[in-house]
Amino acid sequence: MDPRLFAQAVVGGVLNGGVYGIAALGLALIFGVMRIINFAHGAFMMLAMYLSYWAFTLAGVDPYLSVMLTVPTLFVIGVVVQRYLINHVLEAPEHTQLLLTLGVALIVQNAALALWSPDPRTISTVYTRTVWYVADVAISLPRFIAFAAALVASALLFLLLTRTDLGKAMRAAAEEPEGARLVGIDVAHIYAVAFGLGLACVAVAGTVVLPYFRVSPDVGDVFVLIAFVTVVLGGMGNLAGAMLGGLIIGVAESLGALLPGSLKHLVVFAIFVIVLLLRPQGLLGARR
Amino acid sequence: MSKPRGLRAWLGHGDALPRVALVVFLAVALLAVACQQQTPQQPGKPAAPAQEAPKPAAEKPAAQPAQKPAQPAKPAAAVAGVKIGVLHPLTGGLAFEGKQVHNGVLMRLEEANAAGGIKSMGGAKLEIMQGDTQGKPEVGVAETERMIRDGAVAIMGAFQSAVTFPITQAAERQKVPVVVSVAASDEITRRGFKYVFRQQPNTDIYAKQGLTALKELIQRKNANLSTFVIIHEDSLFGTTQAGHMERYGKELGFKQLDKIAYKATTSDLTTEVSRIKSLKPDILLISGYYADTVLMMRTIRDLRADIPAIIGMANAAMSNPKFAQEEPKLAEHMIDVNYWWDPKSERAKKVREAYKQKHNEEMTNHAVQGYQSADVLVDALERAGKADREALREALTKTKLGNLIVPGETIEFDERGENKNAQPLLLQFQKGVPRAIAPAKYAEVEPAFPIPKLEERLR
Repeated sequence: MDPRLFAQAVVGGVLNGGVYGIAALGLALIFGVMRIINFAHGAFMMLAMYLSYWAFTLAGVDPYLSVMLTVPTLFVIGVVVQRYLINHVLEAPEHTQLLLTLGVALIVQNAALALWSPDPRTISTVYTRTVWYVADVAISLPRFIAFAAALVASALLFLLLTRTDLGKAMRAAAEEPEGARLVGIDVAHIYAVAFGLGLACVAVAGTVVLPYFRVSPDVGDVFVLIAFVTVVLGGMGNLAGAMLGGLIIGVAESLGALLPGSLKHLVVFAIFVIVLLLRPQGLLGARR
Repeated sequence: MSKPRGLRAWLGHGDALPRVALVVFLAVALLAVACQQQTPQQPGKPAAPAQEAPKPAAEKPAAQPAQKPAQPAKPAAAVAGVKIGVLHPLTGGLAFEGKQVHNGVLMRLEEANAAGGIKSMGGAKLEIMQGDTQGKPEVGVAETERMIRDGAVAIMGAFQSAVTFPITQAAERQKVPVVVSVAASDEITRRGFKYVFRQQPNTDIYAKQGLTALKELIQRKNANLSTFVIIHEDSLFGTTQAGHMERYGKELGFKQLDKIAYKATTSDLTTEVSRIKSLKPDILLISGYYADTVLMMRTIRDLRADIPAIIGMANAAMSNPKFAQEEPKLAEHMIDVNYWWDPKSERAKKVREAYKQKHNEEMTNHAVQGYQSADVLVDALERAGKADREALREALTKTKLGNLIVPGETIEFDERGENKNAQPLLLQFQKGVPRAIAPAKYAEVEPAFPIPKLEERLR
């Protein structure tokens, strides 16, 4: 095989995988802390993309700067949604949780459809078209920035979880909610913050993707459906695993596209099944 | 840490607020879901909003105060309506394309109502039942069956081949005519069905006529182009289209280098495009939907894949005015084989203007095809003389419809229900507007071919 083609596929896969990773990170955080699978994750990513889109179109805000807008907004939305909705189904059977998050997704998606029509929208900036060449391998600048931002955001989240009291409290609440309550941690509060942080992650993903990808009411599915696989692959609730899973899936998809037919999704799911068979707890499997 | 507790204390009663919020939310969620399912049903009633909207507009030409004519119109509605089911993907990844077809179909049906309904049925109005396939075959079938149960005389749909395929099967079983709005795969009419009618060209005709016209163009321009790569989305439409392109491409003496499939909902096409680039084809043939094609064209730009001829085959973006708006430089000079309005048709001009007035956007090929197929249905209903499925099928088989907005003298169906005279055109973006370049009879402008180098185009 042409080595240049191979290199291009790997680079493209890694860059795309970073975005899968950051989208999955939020999902993993939410699941890790409160055992909820957030099916509305994609809908919130779409919401962040529209926020950034409108900030750019109406107010001329640079799409990368609008991260200052999307992240806090989605964080607040997350806290509110957790406190007033999710919090009540924490102990409920799984299908109730599923119905609730799916219901939120339906509402957000249909609201977007009603408000902004199904038209795919894109933005055009100077860097949208900038491409670097490293030894004949093309690296599109916005895709590179998206990847870098994903790494930075996940590093920040990691620091927050390991170095701050809030992070410690969050890990405590995730490990042993009862014990956490006994030592005076307001677990309900922690859950709300964790959900907010989860949405903040997906807000980062949405914002950095916008300069090179369309936004439409269904766009969340493109990135987040794969994130569910990513989360399980990395080990449910394991953050480093989610990032690693994202990268693996990105590269697998990209290399899979070198095969005849549209096998790239097959490759992803083949890897998924193999990992589940050999390591049911996921790559960096969390206990439990 | 006791902040929420403080809030609750302030509200006086422990968990009341959140509980109330949850109940309210669930109620809203249920309502939203219910509405989604109901909206399509509502138009079944005579006073449905979708139908009401066009009425006042239609009655304005009566040169009377807008309110008055509404009254004499009422008694006429006493004639039982003719129920028509119209379904397309209105949500999901193909909602953008689906909406255009839907608008085209509705526009023609509403015109018929505005012009006094079906005259041979005593001015019976068309009752439009709208449905959303969500782009999913199973949803499409369920919607079709619902419409048939509710008394639809005919079904129109469904934009995607993969959805139209099972829908036509469900309708055939219950002997309900389907007038296909848009769905190109020729497999749809290859099953000996008697209730399927399609006025647009199928994938076979697209590939055959498109590639033949391309060959002529190459010879006329003395261009030395012989190798091609096909890239197609991997559902029924793209796959059958690719099969025919491969066959006719080889028959016409071109050399195929590769055939690449991709999923329309993909987030990245870098590897696919770098594969194309490394093959250095003279011609790239693309069968895809809108968003994925635009992503591909952007990737072609990013990877500097210089290809002398990029041709869309029944492509949803390559002749869509929105593409030229979004990426003017990338769209310029791109060629598409598509079923378009006849540039010489006066009626097409009027229809396009009315469409633009109504929807504030240019009529796309999808809207044109939707409109024309609804025109076929209205004509057949008029000749059928009664709201009866069998009578309608009979009338459809005898269709000989002229004054088209698409190319061709008349629309007539063969025994499979295919339009014998379907004529796709070669279109090229010139100065941001898609113009017909072939066949010669319909050509508006001289083609720019082979297309200029990528660097020149991006300058």
